[in-house]
Parts: sequence; C-alpha cells; structure tokens
Amino acid sequence: MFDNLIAGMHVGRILPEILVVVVAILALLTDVILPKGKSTRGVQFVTLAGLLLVIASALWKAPEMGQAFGGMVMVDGFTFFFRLILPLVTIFIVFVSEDYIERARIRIGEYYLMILFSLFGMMLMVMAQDLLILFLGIETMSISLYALVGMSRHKAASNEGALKYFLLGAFTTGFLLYGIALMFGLTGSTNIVDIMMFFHVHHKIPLMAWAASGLILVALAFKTALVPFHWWSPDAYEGAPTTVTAFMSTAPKAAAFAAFIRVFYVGLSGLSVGWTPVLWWIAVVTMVFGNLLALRQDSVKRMLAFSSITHAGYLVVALLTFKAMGAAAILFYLVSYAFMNIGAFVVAIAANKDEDDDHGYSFDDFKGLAYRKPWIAIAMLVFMLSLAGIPPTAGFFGKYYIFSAAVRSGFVGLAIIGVLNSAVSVYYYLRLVVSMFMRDRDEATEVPIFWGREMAQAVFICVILILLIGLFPQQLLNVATASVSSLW
Amino acid sequence: MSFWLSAIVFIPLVGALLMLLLPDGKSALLRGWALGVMIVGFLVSLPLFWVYNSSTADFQFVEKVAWVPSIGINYHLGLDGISLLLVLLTTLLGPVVVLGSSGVTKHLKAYFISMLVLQTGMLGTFLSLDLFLFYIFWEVMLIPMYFLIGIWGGAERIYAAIKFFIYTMVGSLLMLVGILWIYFNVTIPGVGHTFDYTLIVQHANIAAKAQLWLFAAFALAFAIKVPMFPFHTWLPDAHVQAPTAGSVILAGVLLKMGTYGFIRFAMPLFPAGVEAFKPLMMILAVIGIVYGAMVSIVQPDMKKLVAYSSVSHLGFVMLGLFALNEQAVSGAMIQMVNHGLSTGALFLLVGVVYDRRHTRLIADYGGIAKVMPWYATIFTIVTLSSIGLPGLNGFIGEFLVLVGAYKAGPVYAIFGATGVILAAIYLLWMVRRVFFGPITHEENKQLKDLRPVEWASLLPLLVFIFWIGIHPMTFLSKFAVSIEHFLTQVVR
Repeated sequence: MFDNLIAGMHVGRILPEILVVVVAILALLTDVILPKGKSTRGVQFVTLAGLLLVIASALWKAPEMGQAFGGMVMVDGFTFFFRLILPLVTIFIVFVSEDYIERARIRIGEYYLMILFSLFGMMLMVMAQDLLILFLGIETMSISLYALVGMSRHKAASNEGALKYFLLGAFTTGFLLYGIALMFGLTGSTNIVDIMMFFHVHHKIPLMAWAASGLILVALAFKTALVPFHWWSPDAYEGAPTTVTAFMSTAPKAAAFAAFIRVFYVGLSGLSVGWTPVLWWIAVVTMVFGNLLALRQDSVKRMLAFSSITHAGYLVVALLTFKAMGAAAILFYLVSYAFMNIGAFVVAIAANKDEDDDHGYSFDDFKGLAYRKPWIAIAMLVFMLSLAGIPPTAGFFGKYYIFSAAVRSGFVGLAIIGVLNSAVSVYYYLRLVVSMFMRDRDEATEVPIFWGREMAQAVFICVILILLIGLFPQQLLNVATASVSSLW
Repeated sequence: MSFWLSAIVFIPLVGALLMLLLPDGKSALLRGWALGVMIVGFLVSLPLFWVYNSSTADFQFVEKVAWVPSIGINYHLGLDGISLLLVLLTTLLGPVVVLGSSGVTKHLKAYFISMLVLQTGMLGTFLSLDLFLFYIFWEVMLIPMYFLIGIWGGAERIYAAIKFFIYTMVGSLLMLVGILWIYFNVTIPGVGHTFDYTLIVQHANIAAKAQLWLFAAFALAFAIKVPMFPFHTWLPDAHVQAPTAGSVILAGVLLKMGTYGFIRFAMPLFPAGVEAFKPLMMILAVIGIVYGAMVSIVQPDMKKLVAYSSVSHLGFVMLGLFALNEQAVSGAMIQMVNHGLSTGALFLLVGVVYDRRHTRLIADYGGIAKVMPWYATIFTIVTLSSIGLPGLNGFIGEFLVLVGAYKAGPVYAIFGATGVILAAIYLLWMVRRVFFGPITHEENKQLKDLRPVEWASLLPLLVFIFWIGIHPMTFLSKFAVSIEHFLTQVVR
C-alpha cells in the first residue's frame, strides 16, 4: 500500500525541483568546508554546475508530463517552459555575481544559497495547481528575497529596502491567505482544477467569489509590482545589491506572472473576464506611472527599476486579453526582457564609479563610454534599444506580440496607450545612449571600468540572444505558444 | 526569383559590417572603403533603370520568403515605377554624401558605418511590400540618423537628435497599431490574415469608417516625416544641427519616405480616407508652401533657410499627390526627385563654405563670387533649379503640380503658385547677399574655390538637374503607368 502511495505521488516528476534543494544543501556544505573568505568561488561553482544539472534533468524529464502529489502540482508544457527559463536566468545572475559581491563587500556563501532557495520557491509557483502550493512557493521565494535585498548590511538603503519589502510583503501574505480561505469556503477546495470546475457548473457567481479572487489578485499584483501595489519596489530595487535587483526584476517577476496566468487563465477562468476592466486600469496606470517616475531619475539603477514597472504594465496588457495569444506574448516577453534587463544591469555595474555611494549609478558615469570601451557601449545600446522596443531586437518583437494580442482582442485603445508609453520610454533609454555616445568623456573624474571576464561573457551572450530573437523570433514564439496551449 | 533587390538593399550593410574590421586611425582607407561600397551599390542598382519594364504597373524583381510564418510575416521586396526613381536617387546620393563628408574628422569609422546602415534602412523602406517589413526598415533607419545628428552635429545636436527620434517614433508607433488592426481585421479570401501589401491593396474591403481612422494613423506617421505643416518643427532643428552629409540625406531621401509612404501605403490602402481628408491635406499642403517660404525669407542662417524651403517644396509634393490627377501626381513624383537633387546640392554647397569659414550666417559673407567664381556659378544654377527656372528640373515638377492642382481647385493652385514667387525672393535674395556686392569681410578674400572632391560630389547632381529639366520624358515615362494604376486605386 505504501508503495502505491509513493508511486501515485510521482516524485520523479518534480526531480528538477528536488535537485534545486539538493544543490542548495551542497552549496551550504561547500561554504562550510572551504576556508572562510575563499569559499564563495567554490559555492558559485557548485551552484552553477547544479543549475546546469537542473536544466538537464528538466529536459530529461520532459516527456514525463502530468500531475504529481495528488494534483497538488502540475507538470505540463507551461511548467517545462519556466523550468528551463528560471534556472537559466538564475545561471546568468550567479555567473556575474562573484566579481560584484566582492566589490560590494557581501562576499558570503549565503548569497548563492538564498538565490537557490528563492529559485526553488519560483519553480513551485509555476507548477502549483493548488493554491496552498502557490502560497508556499510565493513565501519561499519572498523570504529568500527579503534576505537578499538586505544583504548589503553596511548600507542604510539596503536595510531600508529590505525592511519595507518585508513589512509590505508580510501584509500581502495575509491578503493571499485570506483570499485562499474564502475560495476554500466557497468551493470546498484549494485545487485550481476543482475551482475551475466549480465555476464551470455554477454560472451565478456569488459575491464571495469576487472578494476571494480580488484578494488573490492584489497579492499577485504586489509580487509583480503593479501600480498601485508597487510602493515597495523602488526602495527594494535601489537598496538591493545590483545583481539582486537584476534578479528580482526578471526571475521572480516571471514566476509571479506564470502564477497569474495559471490561476486566472485556468482556475478562475469563469470569472477572470470580469476582472478585465480593473486590469485595464491597472495596466494604464502601471505603464504611465512607471514611465513618469523613470523619466525623472538621475540614477541608471533607479531608471531601470522604475522602467521595470512600466514593463510589468505592458505584460498586464497581454494578460487581460485572457486569450492563449496573450499568455504566449507574456512568455515571449518575459524571456526577452530577462536577457535585456540582466545585460543592462551588468553594464550598469561595470560603469558605476563607487559601489559604496548610496546614490551611485549616475548617468554621468556613462559619459563618453563609447570612446572608452566601444564594445561595452554597443552592447548597452542593444539593451537600451531592446528595452525601448526598437527593431531588430527581441524587445521589439516582445512588445509587438503584446500589442497584437491586445488589438486582436479588441483592445485597440489600450494598445494605443501602450505604444505611446513606449514612445515616452524611448526618451529615458536614449538618455543613456546620449551619455555614452554623444557626450565627451570626462577624463579628470573617470575611474577604470569594472569589467570582469564573466561579466563580459554574460553580456556577450545576452546581446547575441537579443539579436537572434529579434531577427528570428519564430522558434521562441513556437515554444511559447506550445507551452501555453498545454494549460487547457 | 532574383536577389537583385536584396543585393541593392544589403550591400551597404555588408560594407558596414566589414568596415568594423578596418583599423580606426586610417582615415583615407575608411573614406575610400565607404565611397567604394556606395559606388558599388549605385552601380548594382543602375541597370534597373533600363531593365525595369515601364509598360506595366506590376511589381518587378519580386522576392518573397517567409520570415515569421506563424504570424504571416514575409520578407517581401518589389519594385515599381514609384519606387524606381527613389531607389536610384538614394543610391546616387550614397557616394555623393560620402564625398561631401570631407569636413568630418571625428570618429570617422563610426560615422561611415552609421551612414551605410542608414542607406540599407532607406532602400529597404522603399522596396518593402510587406507592411511589417516596411515598419522594421522604417524604424531601423531612425537609429543611424539619430547618431549622425547627435554625434557629428552642431552645438544643439543632442536636443535636435532626440526631438527627431521622438517625433518620428510617436507617429510610427500609431501606424504600427494601424498595421496590426489591418492584419487582424482584414481577411483575404484564400489567404486569411496577411501583411502582404499587394494582396491587401487588391482585395481588402475595409469599412469606410475604419479607413478614416487608419488613414489618420498612417498619415500622421508620414506627415511627421514629410514634414507637413504643423508637424514640421523637428526639421529645422535636425537640419541645422546635422552635419552636411546628414542634411543631404535628410533632405534628399528621408523626407521622401514620408511622401512615398502616402503614395505607396496611406492613399491606395484607404481611398475613403483620402476622400474625406483630401481638403484638409491640400489646405495643409498650401499652408506649408506659403508658410515655409515666408519663414525662409527671414532666416539669417543659410542652412536654416534651405531647411525651411524644404517645408515649402515638400508642400508642393503633397499638393500634387492629393490633387489626384495624372499631371499633379506625376509632378509630385518628379518633384520628389527634384527636391532630393536640388536641396541636396544646396546643403552640399552651404557645407562647402561652412567647412572654410565655420559660419553659415548670410551676413558673414558678401561678394564672394569674386573669389569663388565656380562656386558662385554652381550655387546660382542650383538655386535657379530650386526656384523652378524652365530648362532646369524644378520647373517640370512645380509646373505639373500647379496645372494639376488648378484642375482640382483653382484656389489651391493660386496660393500654391505664390510659393514659387516667394522662392524666387528668398533664394535670389540670399544669392545676392552672399555672392555679389563688395567683399565685406577681410577673411573672405582668402577663400579657395571648389576643390576636386567637392566638384566630384556636385557634378552628378548637376547632370540630373539639367537632364530632368531638358528631357523630363526619360524619367516621367518610367512611372507613367504606375501612376495611372495608382489613380485607379485611389479614385474609385
């Protein structure tokens, strides 16, 4: 009987997730075994090797799809997509971290450990077919992120960001749990498929269903930093070590949008269309607000942080179509955005003059970069053009799919607001291009570019991927479409 | 399927990529390479003029390859009478602007790479028959131009570059939404949704009300580019700040992309929109003609004067296009080429004295015909061509446009014609102040006449200025059938 129980759980189907935890434990051991102060290189190596193994196992387990743990998690094409993307993004972050954490004086093994644990949380989120698993995933991810944000213990901004993020995040946890409880009270289940069936049968939607789904919506909007639930993000993004900011604006955001899709496209598909007008407004204010704030920044790090709010707004434009095409556009965009944003943050780290300066990352640090390090400037140019959505880059196609999903679903007005926001964002992205290419270098105050070999390699790969996706988007589009279609 | 058009489009880009491998410091090598690539591009495109079959309005040398098949995007190029001359104008101006860049010394390699990439973007725009592909080229071309203005421009270059970029971007993004709307709402029998221009223009049955919106979206993008009054304010900034070669390309080719957009896309795709907006467009065109000319009169800066004259001259093109008869549209077509030649040459000529004296103010010159006789001669010829003296190219275009406009509405023609008179005033007045009278500034006595490289950049333009003026049929006959076809599409 016990054997049957184990077999019914299909433990093998969550092998990649198990591996992430195993890698985390191995990394912890490595940190303990190696001499203090020299251990991080080893931890980084273990993490990287482990994450490659995670991706390999995800590929190896790809044919084995289906539910596991009695329907608590679902391993389908959608899960598979994020199982590849999330560890891949994490690999990029871990790869460029070693140089940075030494410079930022946070060279401790726990840095990698926390990243691994938050990755585990994210991977749970994308496969969660039960709201409680979703909750566990979100919490595992968030608690690790709180610690990561506050990792620069000697900097006030880092502490402030972490505290703010933690307090507001804890509050949101309450919203999520309350929503789940209400949903359970109404439907008698926390399972997403059961909830879907409930609304399939009961056509009259009780008020409590709106309350429950609204609370879940707020919690997810918080995690994806949508206006007006974004107040934590500027401080957390600015205070966090820059590699963590790059991480937070890509992988956790991707995981949260994945959860958004699974909950609202599958579980609450009966009532999600009712949320369209609300999401319409959220999309508009998120795009506009992010832009207005990004326009005024004198720090590249803050500019990228605020603009990531705007990018979340674009994603909501696709989300609220509640069509497969919209979900596919989100997946495409998340991948493109991850590479351009990580690349941009890495170059920002390189050009930053003083890591201990709370108000570093000035646009002026980039002055004349094109004439000091032309290749770095060209790479940054590619990232900026991609973020601004100018062809032939991945960012352009990403935006293109999002707005075409909107137009196709009849949201022409929203698409127009979206493209106008995109035009506004050109201004601040090009401002950096102006600094790099059109201003003369200021040799008196220049400090050498902080440019490690690993950073160069990561940036190079990001540039290549952005251009490849921009010129030949078909493959990624096929994968995204196929992944989404497995949801139903 | 031939790859002729692809070769024409991508030769400059390949040249630019290879240029990355050349050493930074050797300026002669860089200049030579850029010139060589541009000349090859021109020579490869030149035979089109004879091989092109002008007895049909069909697209020729068509290339069509699936690019992103699942969403119906094709790499689709083709040439007809409307694009033929514009393509040749672009490839002709290629070597001319490289020769006209002798004043540029800063970051030479990046400069020529920008210029070559720009060339690819412009040629691609003129040859794309897929709406999506057209949009890509249209946008891609912005980036190198932005750099040309922003890095090699004058004191206010950064402001001008950003203004240029944002203006164009706002217009074109709305056009992108329009393109998307067409894609999802137009169903071609047997094909379904498509970006294929040739199919959409033949089979699409877009509701009249939707056509109004679509026309507005497309027209805004193109009107900013032309630029039509009141969307012209970016142009003087961009022109004055851009380096000489940048201005030549801007005036010679980039502005034509706006008018080309009207004649290729906005008008044939949305005839109901044309009908509704025709009076407005013609009034704006006439305002542009008169306003541009009046503002030109008071300019103290030669380059700014020529820039505003562009607003006036492009007004003629727009007037001709929307008069919607054979003379007017033919006039508009030939006027596009004329403006590229004459205004391009004027910018080159202003650049000649600017390189010597680093000022463009009319007041800083005077009487320099005595020291630069050849320069004065050429300048006067080009000026006269721009005014529209019979026997030179400008006359043909303006005459045909005015005849056609008269047919469409005498008032338009009468107001339009004042533009010709005003052009004579501002251009001849400038010529008088710059070249004749006593030499008022000591330093102007040492000015050297045209150097060989300057001759080389001007002569090709002069040849066509005379050729079009004396025997316009060589050129008019190339697009006559295409224009007939265009009129059947627009006037239903």
